[in-house]
Amino acid sequence: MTLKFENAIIHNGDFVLGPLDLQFRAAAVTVVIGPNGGGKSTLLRAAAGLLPAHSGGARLQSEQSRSAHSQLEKSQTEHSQFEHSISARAPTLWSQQELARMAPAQRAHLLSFVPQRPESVAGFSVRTSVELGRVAMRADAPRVQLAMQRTGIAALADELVGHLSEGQRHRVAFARALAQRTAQTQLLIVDEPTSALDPSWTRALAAELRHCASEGLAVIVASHDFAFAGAIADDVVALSQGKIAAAGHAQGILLPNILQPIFNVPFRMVEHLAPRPLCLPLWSDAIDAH
Amino acid sequence: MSARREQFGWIVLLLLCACAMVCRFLVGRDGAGQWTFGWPTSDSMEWRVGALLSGLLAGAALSLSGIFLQTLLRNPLASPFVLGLSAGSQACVAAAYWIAAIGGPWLLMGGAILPATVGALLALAVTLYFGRGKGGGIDPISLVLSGVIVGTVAAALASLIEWLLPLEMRPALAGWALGHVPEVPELSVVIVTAITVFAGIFIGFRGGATLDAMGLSDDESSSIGIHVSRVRLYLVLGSSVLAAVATALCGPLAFVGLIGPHMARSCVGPKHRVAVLAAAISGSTLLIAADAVRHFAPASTGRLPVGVICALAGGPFFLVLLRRGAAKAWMR
Repeated sequence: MTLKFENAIIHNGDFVLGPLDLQFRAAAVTVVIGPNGGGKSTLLRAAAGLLPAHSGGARLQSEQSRSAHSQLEKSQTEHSQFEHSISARAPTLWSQQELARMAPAQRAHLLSFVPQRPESVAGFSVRTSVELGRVAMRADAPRVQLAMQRTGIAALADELVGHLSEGQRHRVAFARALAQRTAQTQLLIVDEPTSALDPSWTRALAAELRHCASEGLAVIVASHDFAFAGAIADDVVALSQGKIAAAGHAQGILLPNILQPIFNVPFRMVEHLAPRPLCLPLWSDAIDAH
Repeated sequence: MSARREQFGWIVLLLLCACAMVCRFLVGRDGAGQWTFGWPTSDSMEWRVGALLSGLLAGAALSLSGIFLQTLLRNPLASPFVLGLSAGSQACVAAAYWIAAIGGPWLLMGGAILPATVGALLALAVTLYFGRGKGGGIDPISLVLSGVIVGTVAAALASLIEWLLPLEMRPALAGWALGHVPEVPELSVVIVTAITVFAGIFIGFRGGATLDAMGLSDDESSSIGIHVSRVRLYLVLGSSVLAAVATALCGPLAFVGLIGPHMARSCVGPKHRVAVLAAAISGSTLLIAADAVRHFAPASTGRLPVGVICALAGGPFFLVLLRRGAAKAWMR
């Protein structure tokens, strides 16, 4: 599935984002970058159907059924009547307005969304919190267990979420999004997932997001972490003051001459890093100046 | 919460409920109006059973209203009092009495339940109007604040109307306004309360997972498939009707709707599928126990109103919750 924004204007309170012409490809990771207040979260919420887009709107275009299905999805041969009805609609086009108008239970089959500041339900254990991802669909204990294993919280399953650290709570929210996946899921949207994670979990998350993309999902991630973005991005969208400052393939966007004017910070290519060079911001000049 | 712990919680809860009911059943006045302790005589049996039934239903309704409001507001300090529903009901019932005093008693034909529901819904409408956030949705914080103000104003209105009433009508209304568990409840009120209580328990059982998911942020609950605004509307309407029927039956009782849900969660855990039923039982237990305690308290000028017991026991509980930062932990 490809999610398209065509000449879309998105209102979030007083903030206006757009007009946007964008395409989030299936089986690819698109990283949304930009200064604070640039519109990253607004774009992600609109992509998740949580905010309506006006004029033109965005189109959610289903391509042919995804080539790669995980083992778990293959095991899910029998679906509920409801899942069938979505399946039947899959090859059609959806406008973003339609996505935003769609019943939440229906939308939950199509996409998962992890907000920047996930919340936890008071008194809930990690396992019950992850199980909430299945609230609109039938329970699936193996998938919940797998989601907890992939995010490294399986050992904490019976702990109260309220007692966890912020990074661990982020992983619970991400596990919930993974547990929510069905055979129809085509979109995974994650807002600044690395802000509370240590390097080892950032690495694990990067691998997990790439894995989701390899399974055919369109993955959209907002991030300020350029090492993370450079490592996982196929495409990059740079937003600044509610407009697209740059968009395209990662290799063409994550370059000092493009990022420097957007962030007003010097950037430098670190060439020798495998598998590809990274474009990282430099702060040492500010410290040297003092 | 482990299954074993939950089982233990149910046993404790049901034992407490049974104890409260037995205590209340054994204490009360006899046919001559004298206070007695022991198996009721044939003439007072009806009163004991009536009081038990009233307490059971009103306590359950208040506690259900409380758990729905706490879910709606994501706030453990919420109760029917917070949205001003109890006070709204009280004001409208007082107004109905006043109209009946002017226009004739036939105007009160329908009993207190109709004005109580109108009052709760009116209070709710005003609270919602001022409690809306920037985006047009309900903002939990603004809602609580406007509810407190609506409650205060409605309670003042109730006092004002009471003051306008003819002297001979004041005692009945004043007794009700302090909270009492009627020994001879009106049948219509009992039936309506029973229906709403069973509906509330059924909703909790069927929609438990949905109510659980309401504890997440709006974006999260919406993206996992919850129609947040619709569920909120149901919660608001359900909790206000429950609060109204309880108020019509027993007058405004403050803290039963607050403590009941907490007692339920500490016994059987936070999952609504079980917590809603447990909250109903907890609320019944609390109100029946308060009604029993009232009969043990010596009072030279008649028995203490049950509302006083509820407030005396519930007020400190509220403060303890506040001190423990429960609201903050919940709303994180």
